[in-house]
Amino acid sequence: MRASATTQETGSTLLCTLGVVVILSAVGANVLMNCVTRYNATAKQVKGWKEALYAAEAGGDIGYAEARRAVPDASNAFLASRGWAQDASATNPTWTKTIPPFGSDNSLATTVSVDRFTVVNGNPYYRIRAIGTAAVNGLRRSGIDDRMNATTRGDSLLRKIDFSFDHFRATYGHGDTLATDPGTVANGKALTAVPRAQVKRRIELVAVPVMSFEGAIKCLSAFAGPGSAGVIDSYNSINGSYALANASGLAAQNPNSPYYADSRNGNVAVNTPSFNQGNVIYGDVSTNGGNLNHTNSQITGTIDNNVPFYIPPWTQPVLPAGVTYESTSPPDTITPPVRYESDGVTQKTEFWYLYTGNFKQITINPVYVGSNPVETQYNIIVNGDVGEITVQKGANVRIHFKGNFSAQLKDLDNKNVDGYGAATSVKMVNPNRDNDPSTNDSYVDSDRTSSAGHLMLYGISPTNGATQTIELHPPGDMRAVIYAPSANVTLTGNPDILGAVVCKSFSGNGNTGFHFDNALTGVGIPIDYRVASYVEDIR
Amino acid sequence: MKLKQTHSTAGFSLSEMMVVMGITSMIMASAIGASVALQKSFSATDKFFGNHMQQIRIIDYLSRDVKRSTIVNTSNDKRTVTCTVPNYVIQEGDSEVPASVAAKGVRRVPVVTITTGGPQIDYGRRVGDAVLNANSSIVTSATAKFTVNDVGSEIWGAGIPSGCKITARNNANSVTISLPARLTRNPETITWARVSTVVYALNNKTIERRENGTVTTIAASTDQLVPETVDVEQANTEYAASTVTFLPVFKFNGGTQSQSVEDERRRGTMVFAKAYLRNKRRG
Repeated sequence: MRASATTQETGSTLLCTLGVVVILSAVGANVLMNCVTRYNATAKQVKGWKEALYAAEAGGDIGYAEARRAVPDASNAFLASRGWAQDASATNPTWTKTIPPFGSDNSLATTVSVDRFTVVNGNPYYRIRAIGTAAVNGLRRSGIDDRMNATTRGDSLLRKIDFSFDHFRATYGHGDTLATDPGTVANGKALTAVPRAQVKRRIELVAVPVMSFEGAIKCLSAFAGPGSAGVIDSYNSINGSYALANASGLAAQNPNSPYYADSRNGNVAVNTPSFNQGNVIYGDVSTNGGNLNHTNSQITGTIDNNVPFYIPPWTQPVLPAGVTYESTSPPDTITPPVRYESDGVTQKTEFWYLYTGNFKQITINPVYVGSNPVETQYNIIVNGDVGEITVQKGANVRIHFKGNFSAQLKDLDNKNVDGYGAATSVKMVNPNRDNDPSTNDSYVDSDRTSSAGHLMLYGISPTNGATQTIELHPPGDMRAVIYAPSANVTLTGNPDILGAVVCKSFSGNGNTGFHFDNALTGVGIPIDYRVASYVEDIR
Repeated sequence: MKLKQTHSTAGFSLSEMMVVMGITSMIMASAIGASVALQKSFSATDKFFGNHMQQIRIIDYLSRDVKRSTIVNTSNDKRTVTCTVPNYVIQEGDSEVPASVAAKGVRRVPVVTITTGGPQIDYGRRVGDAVLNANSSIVTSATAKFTVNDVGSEIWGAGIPSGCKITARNNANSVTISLPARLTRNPETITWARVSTVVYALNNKTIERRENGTVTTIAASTDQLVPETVDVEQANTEYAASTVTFLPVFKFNGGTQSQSVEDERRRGTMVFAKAYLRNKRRG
C-alpha cells in the first residue's frame, strides 16, 4: 500500500489574497468616498441649490405677472379662477398659489404668496414671497463637501440642505421668529420631516407701480426742443414754487443752491433716434439709436442711446362699481354735489363725469370746508375736444378726452399753487380718520404739493390708429401734465410749462421754459408694475 | 513494506532563483511605481476637484450676495469685493427692538420712498417728526430711538442731500449725518435704511467673507485660489463679472515652470460667472 502525502501548501495564498483584497478595498473605498462626495456635491447638491433658486424665481415671476393685472383695475388681479387663494387670517390682503411640481422628474416645486403691504397715493404695492424647493437626489446625507480645514466648514454654510427635516421651519418657523424662541402654532416653528432630501430657497420681491410721469418729456416718435432761448430743468414742489427755488438765479447752474439737487431732473426720453435740441437740458437724455454725446449736445446728465421703451395706448377708464356719472352735459361751472361718507360728517370728494360733446370754457370747483378748499378728485370723460378750463384751488382734475386739445395757455387756468396744504390752506380728507363723527378728524392739511398734478390731461388713443393733436399757444403759462401716447404735442411762443408730457411727438420752439416737478413721480396713474426690490432670505 | 517517497526534493537552481527574483523585483518595482504614480495622480485629481468645488463655492457665494445688493464695489486689484445688502431681518440692537422686543427676528416691512426715478424700496425705518435745520448736520426726532446699529445707514428726506449717511448716534433722539441739511424743515419725514456690508477678500491662502465684521472662511487652498471680480456699471444695469483660478499641483517635466507656463496652467482652471444686481438703482 502506498500512502500519499497530503501536505497543505496553499493556506498562505488565501491569506495573501484576502490581505490584498482588503488593501485594495480600502483603497477603492477611499477613492469611492472621495468620488461620491465630489459627485454628490457637483451633480446633486450644487444642482439642487441652483434649481431651488430657479424655482423660487419662477414663483416670483408668477406673482409679478399677476400683480401686473392690477393695471388698470386692481380687481382683475389674484382671482380664484386663476388658482389664487386669499388668506383671510393675514393682516394685509394676501393671496397664495401653489404651483404643481415641475422640472425633471417633478423635482421642483414653488409656492408664492403676494400681499398688498401698502397703498401709496391710492396705488397698491405688492410684496411677493416665493419659496422654491428642489429635490436632492440620491441617499440622504451621502456626503457634503465641508472639508477645508479643522475649524472651517465649507458647503454646509452656503447650501443648507434639508436631509431629514426642514431646517428653516425648525429654526425660524414661518420666517418671523428667532432661533431661540419656542415653537408655537402662530410662529410655525416645528420639526417637520421632509419626504426626501431637498433644498429650499426663499426670495422676496416688491412690485411697484410704474407711474405715468417719470420724467419731463417722454416721446414715442420724435422730440424737438427746447427752443434756442428755452431750457428744460426741474424743481420739487415739496419745497415750494419754481420761482422760489430759482429766486437767486437758475438753481441748475448754482451748485451751492439748496435747490440744486432737485433742479437737474429734466429728463427727456425718445424711443427713436429723432432728437433735435435747441438749448440746454438739465437732466438725463435717452434715445433709441441716436448719436448723442456730451460734445454734440447741451445735456448735463447721462446720455444713453440704447434705451427702447414702450408706452401702451391709453384707454378710457372703467367706471368703478357702484359709481354713476354725475352729468353728461357740460355746465359752465362744475360744483361738487354734497354727499357724505359713512360717518355722516366727512364729505365725499371723488366724482365722475361723462361729456358726450366738447369740454370748453368750464370752471371746476372743489369741495369746501368753511373757507378751506378740500382736495377733490374729478374724473371726466370727454368724447369731444377740450379747450379753455379754469381749475379752482383744491380741485384735482383728470380729463380723459377722445378728441383734440387746442388753447391759449392763458385760458388753461390752474389756480392751484405748489407746496403743502399747511402753506396753501388746502385740506384733504384724513386717510387715517376713524368712523366716529364726534372726533372731528375728517380733514387734515393736504399733502399734495404739485400744482401741475392738479390738472391732468389724458388723451384716449384713437382705436383706428389716428394721431391726436395737442396745441399749446401763447400767451400764458401752463401748470398741467399731459399723457397722450397717440398725440403730437406742439408748443409755440414763450410759455413756461410746469409739469410733464408723455406723447407721440413733442415740438417746442421759441423761449419755452419746461420745468418738471419731481413730486409728479408720485402722482398720476399707474401704467404698469415693475420689480423694484429683490432680497433672498439666506438663513 | 517500503513506502514510496513522493515528496519532491527537487529545488530551483541559483540561476533560476536569480532570474525569478529579478523578474519579481521588476514586477514589484513596476507595481510600486505604478501605485505611487496612481496615488500621486489620484491625490492631484482629488485636489484639483477639491479646488474646483471651492471655486464653485466662491462663485455661488458671490453671485448670491451680488444679486441681492444695492451697491457693489470692487477694488482696483480686483481681489476685494464690497457688497451693500439690505438688512432684511431685524437683529438685536436695531432701532426697532427698543420699541418692541418681539420685533427681533422679524422680516422687515419694505419702506417706499417716491424718488425722481420712481418708487424706491428699502428695508429700514421712517418717522414723520424729524427736525432739520439748514446747514446743520444734526437730525433730531422724538420717536426715532436711534441705536448704534443705525450708524452707516443711508438716510434721506426732502431736506437731506442725496447720498447722505448717518455718521454718529448722539442719543436715542439725535444723529449726525454726513452732509448738512439743505433746508430747514419741521416736521420732516425721514427714512433710513439698514444695510449689511459684505466684503470678500483674499487673505493669504484663504478667501474670507466678512458680513458686518464677522469673518467666515469660505475657501482655503494651498494652490493659490485667486478670485477676481470686476464691477461693470451701465446706464440701466450693473453686473459683477467674477473669475476664480488656481494653480494645479500637477508637475510637468519635473522642473520649475516659467511664469508664462504657470499662467497658462492657471487659465486652464478658470471658472467664470456674471451676476446682475437685481436692486440696481438709477442715478
